[in-house]
Amino acid sequence: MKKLSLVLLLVMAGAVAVMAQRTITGTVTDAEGETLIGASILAKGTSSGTVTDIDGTYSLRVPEGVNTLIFSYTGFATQEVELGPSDVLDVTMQESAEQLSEVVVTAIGLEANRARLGYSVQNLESDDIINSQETNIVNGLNSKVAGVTVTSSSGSPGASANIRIRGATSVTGNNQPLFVVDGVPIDNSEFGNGVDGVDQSNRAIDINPNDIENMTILKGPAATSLYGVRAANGVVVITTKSGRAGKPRVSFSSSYRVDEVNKMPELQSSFAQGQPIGGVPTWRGPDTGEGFSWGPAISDLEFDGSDYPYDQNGRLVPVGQGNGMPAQAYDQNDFFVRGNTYDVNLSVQGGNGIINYFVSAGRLSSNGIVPNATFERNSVKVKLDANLTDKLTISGSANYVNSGGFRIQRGSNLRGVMLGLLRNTPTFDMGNGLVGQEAADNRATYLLPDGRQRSYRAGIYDNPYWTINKNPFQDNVNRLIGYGSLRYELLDWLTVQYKLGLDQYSDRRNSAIDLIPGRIAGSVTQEIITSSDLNSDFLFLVDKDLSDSWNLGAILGHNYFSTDVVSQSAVGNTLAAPDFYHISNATDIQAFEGISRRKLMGVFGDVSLAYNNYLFINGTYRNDWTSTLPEGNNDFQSWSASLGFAFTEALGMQNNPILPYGKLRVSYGAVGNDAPIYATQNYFNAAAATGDGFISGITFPAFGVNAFERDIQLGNNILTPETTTTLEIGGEFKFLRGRLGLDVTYYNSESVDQIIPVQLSATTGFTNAILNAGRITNEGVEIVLTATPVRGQDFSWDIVGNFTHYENTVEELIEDVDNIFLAGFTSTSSEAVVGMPFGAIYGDGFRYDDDGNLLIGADGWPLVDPSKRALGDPNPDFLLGIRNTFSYKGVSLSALLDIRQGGDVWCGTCGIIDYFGTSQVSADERGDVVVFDGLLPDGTPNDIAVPLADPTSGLGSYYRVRYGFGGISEMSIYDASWVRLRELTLSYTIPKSVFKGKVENMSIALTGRNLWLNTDYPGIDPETNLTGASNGIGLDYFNMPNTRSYAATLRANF
Amino acid sequence: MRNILFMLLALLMVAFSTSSCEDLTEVNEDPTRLSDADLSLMAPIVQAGHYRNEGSNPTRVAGIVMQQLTGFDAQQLAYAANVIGEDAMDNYWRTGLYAGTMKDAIVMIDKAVEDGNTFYEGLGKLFLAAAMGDATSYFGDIPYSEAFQGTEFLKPSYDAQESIYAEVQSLLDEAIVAFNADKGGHVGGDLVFGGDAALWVKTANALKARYLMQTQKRQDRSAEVLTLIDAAMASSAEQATFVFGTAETENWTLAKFGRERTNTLTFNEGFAQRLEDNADPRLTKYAIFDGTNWLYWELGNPDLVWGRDDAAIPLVSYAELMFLKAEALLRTGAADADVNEALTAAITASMELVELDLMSAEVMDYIAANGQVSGSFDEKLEQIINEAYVAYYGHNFHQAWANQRRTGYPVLTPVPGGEADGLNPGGGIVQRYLYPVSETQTNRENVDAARARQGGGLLNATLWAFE
Repeated sequence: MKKLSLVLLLVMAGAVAVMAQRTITGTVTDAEGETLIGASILAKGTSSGTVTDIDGTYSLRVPEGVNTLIFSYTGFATQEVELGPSDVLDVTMQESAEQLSEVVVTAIGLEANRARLGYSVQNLESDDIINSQETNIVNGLNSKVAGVTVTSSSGSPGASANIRIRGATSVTGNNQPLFVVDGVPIDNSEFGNGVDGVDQSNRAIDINPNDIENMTILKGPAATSLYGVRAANGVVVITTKSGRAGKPRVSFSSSYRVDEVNKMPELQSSFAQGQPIGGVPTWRGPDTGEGFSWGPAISDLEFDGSDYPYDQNGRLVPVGQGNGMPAQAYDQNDFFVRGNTYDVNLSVQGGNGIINYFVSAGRLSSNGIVPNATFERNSVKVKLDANLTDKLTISGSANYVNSGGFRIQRGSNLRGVMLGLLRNTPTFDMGNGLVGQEAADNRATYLLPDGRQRSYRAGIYDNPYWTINKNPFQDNVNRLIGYGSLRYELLDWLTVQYKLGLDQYSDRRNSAIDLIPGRIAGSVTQEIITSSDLNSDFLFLVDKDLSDSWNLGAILGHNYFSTDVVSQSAVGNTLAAPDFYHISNATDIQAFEGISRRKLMGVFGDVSLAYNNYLFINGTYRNDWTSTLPEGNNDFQSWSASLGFAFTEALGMQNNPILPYGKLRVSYGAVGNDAPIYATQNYFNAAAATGDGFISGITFPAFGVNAFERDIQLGNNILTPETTTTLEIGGEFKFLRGRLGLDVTYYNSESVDQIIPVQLSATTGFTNAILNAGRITNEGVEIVLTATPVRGQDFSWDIVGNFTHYENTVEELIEDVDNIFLAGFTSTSSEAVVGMPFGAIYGDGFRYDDDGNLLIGADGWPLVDPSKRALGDPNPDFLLGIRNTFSYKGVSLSALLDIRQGGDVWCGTCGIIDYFGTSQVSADERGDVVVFDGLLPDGTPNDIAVPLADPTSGLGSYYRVRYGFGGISEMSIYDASWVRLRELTLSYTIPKSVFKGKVENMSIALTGRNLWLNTDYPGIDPETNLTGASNGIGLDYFNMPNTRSYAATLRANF
Repeated sequence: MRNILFMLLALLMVAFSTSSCEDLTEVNEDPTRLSDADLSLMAPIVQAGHYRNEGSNPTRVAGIVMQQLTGFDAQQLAYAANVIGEDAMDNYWRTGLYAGTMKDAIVMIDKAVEDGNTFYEGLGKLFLAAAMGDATSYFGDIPYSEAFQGTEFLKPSYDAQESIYAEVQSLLDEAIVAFNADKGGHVGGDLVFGGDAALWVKTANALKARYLMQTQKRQDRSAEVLTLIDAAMASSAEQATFVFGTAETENWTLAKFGRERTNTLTFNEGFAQRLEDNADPRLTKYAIFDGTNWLYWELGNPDLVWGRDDAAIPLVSYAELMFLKAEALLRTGAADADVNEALTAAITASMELVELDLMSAEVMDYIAANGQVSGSFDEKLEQIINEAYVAYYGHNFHQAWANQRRTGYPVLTPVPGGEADGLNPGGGIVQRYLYPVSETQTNRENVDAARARQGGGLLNATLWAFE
């Protein structure tokens, strides 16, 4: 015990012992004499090592007693070279069949040799993530991994990004993968990304990308089943940087990024606010409260110089009736500013081989493209590994993160910035003579002298400058993620390991809606969400050679996981004074608390057999007990079997120049998806009188009493988990001495016993019940292609391509139910529709006959189908990410091209701005007379010409208005295919010689993000989704725009 | 050292495995909710739910149909053009009515019967009857005999409107019996009468009178109505009034609509004109002209009685009772003087309801000018119903609409283009609401059968009671 304390003391002191050393230098080249950059050199039996620099040279201080160096490089055979008397050691590496002996991190955070796996995994290195210049690691994965779809909510600072691996497996359950950092599952939830409110973060944003060593994406059940129920949607395994033995190495990086809006809907600047009155387009000013921009041509109007609170130049009148000052159109996009992000990171790592440490600190600070929008992230991380004896290792890590910012109202929200901005009529100057931040900082922009709001519709929609000042939303997250672990080698083939992980955070949110005299009473909301996840893993690990040919690997483990989320909020209504956003300003206050908790226990086993290094058999089994299922029925099983066969090894083809390596894989497995919490019994809730559709309810306590009522959800005590089974077949091939690599995977999965909140007829006394029913299938192909067309002495060209294609189909729901709402609006939504791709866009469409002819009414206008139907498929036909990297000496140019083919998005924004007459389309077609292509009621082709906007027939007759608010869904569904230059990075590594040994290396990188985007989608950048991590996708309704960025990064290692 | 380590490991294992095993199921019990509730905790939501419905979407749309309100923006504009689709009443049907007030009333009745408390049994039945009476006046045939039985009947059939009205009467009869039985008594939660069973009996009789008169076209039971009125409230002071609160969570529905859906619904200009033309002093209590539009609501304006946060809403007002009396007297051939007396009492009670000074010249002039019937039977009926139409504004839209469909008064001009894209063939005054979309989705066979029985169930289909 004394010994242990002493060691612990040493750990805390971070003491680094100094040993006698000699320094070996040399050059590492390949068989053709070309130098190898980044080859690893390790002093055998120690953890001290280094890598070759850009000249292929290395220098390593070798502790006394070490007489062998180990040289390794991806794609080459690892060599052990004995040290001679010389301190110079040049090594020539041989390309090898062992070239895929890349180490990947698999289930439960264990390392495995990629060559031995019978399933597909994909790895990303630190640079792949950092160079993307994304604040959110999830965005950093975009276009880089086959089978992964990333959708960001918007370009707002701190906005969430959502990830799906191989489409959706659950109709209404969670479809996001599990995030595991250093073996500890972390929380990636997001609270509050609905159709309105602000863009919230997904909590993976708290991970500082600079702390990441690498990431592995586990896709199918064979890869994930050891995680059991939590891994039904795949796993993102993140390994953070650790200390390596050696003197303290300091890394510093600093980057500055500038953001600007990358795409906005096209707005018109020719027609004024107003609508036809008595058959004539007439100016109707802000004071009318009318929203339309179907008024007269701006060129036909002038100011009258009258005293008018909404415009310093007065009201608008026809030319000749005013003061001669011509009316003008204002550019709404002047609202946006240039955003910027400053990111600084510093880390120190090192160790004496017994105790190794890694300490880092990072600060990221962003200002958005919307004035006042911010996001900040400050993080500190400490990671220690101590080899207490040659058999006992203890490790620990603690990562503290503080994040949050000022967030902007968006979406279907009368306070939303984009709603107010895009509906704003061209003749209303939102900035009142100013633009951008200057306008935002001047109260006269958005405030009338009488305290009411200055906006184009007299306060019905908030002026964007009003909302960013008067409707604040701030969040502040304090988070601690850590673990402690212990590893002991009981026998040379048996290791026991224990790891306890903790992820705890509090998320404090303060928001307000300021009062407007006579209109808005105002409110203040204070919310605190605290989340605590605990994970315990106890493992026995076996690695034993059974004979010369057979090797056995096995894992036996126990897991305990508990999550506890408490949300407490106070909502204060009816504010007393303006500009005072504290709860004490409220006239009445309500308090709420929600508690959600879940526990899970599992035992699991994994057996791997390897025969002669070419045949690999693996079986896994896990039994979980969960708190969310009814007692006695609360356990379920996940399992998998996989086979890997490296035929080139078996046939002795390793040295075949055309196909030196080939492996075939097949796996089959099943994993479960959990039931929602508290679904097994009936409850009495705090009572609320609701049922209006337009307004909030009466909530108790009220009127001086309290009340409870039976919940409208019918409890189900026979729930079972959802189960997904997957067959995966694939192969990995290396051609032409490894210059060309191909990894192809086909999978076919089926998810059954979907846990579906089924809508009941309310006349039963319940509105819904949670039942097991339904089936989703998913079939897909993933291809990863790597090529090195040129690998020369100084110049090399590398290509990596990732191709993703899947078909995710809703096969069955429940009897009599054809569609289930996932997200969106009653008019247009993303739904699960039987026989359709998952998340289909569902809404009102025009009427067609069986031959697909549009049906036209006797008046010449297309008819609307009285029943809603699936109108679009938001899933892409395929995704393709292609990265080309050119390196010449220390200069590297890397371009990531992202192609998305197909996939529809509902541009609800477009439908609305067409309706209000602010879109360019609505201006262009004002004079048009068209004959819709279709059939008249008598079956003859339509020949009736209709004017699209005829003032004499009234506004209600206009094409963009006649089908109601925003038109019908079908009018606004667009193909969102795109080609974009997602990343372009030019970096230069300054030769070491420049620094005369004071700096190990230094590099400068210039990065562009979304520099180029080509799409026919008429709204903002179609890489967006209104409802965050919900299962509904393809919805754009006044979403915040995305950004284009330019960044410069300096990195130095000392 | 090895031993110590193993001990530590074993301890950790024990800590995280054994303890958790037992409480797995317990973890799934939501600590924020109850598994059962007392009667005193049930009554407030039954009452608040029903009174809130008196201003929710079906009544506001009735106000639009009756041309007392009109749409200014968004969905309200569509409603004003008779585009009142299957989704319009879905929220009301689901969480306002069936899985709302009616469910809450049924749960309370069951609990009261179990506990042997007749007061809450009576209260539950009274509100269940009132909710059903309103619902059938909107939809005609509705589920009842197979409803509220959970998994027993997942797809309840629709009962004919005739039997629903009969059920309303018998529920009210049972409520009266229960109130009179006086077992268990009030243990809290009656926000209206604080447990005064006698006043509830009077209200039950008033409701019986209302719903008997609603089916008058089918069977005239005016004599019975008069008897019931005698057993009902004797003054406005005895009417069952629910007082909403100024806290945002307690606001009267129309005020809440004003707050949360500002500038989408306004006071009907034609209705304002009608009141102006008659020098009706109630206009100042109903609406305010802002220079462009007539507004029924303004934040914090205490003059607008039916737009107030803390409006006092009668379940069935003394004014309504007197209008029913005037009509019943007319129908039973009573002398004009008796009819006039009831009509004058009705108008006076209406003025009182909106807090006008009964002694003021405007009020006295109005009553003097409008409190007398004259002319043919139809003309007299028209006068009574038209007066009721004005009096019911703001809190009783559904009875104004029921009267119109039953008697044809007031005579309204249908809105132009009111065919509403096929929802309202003929384009006349809307006669009913469509069955909500969720019924089509979850109970299709039964709702289709109900539609077929009722002439297709579109907005123009006359309900059984009004045929």
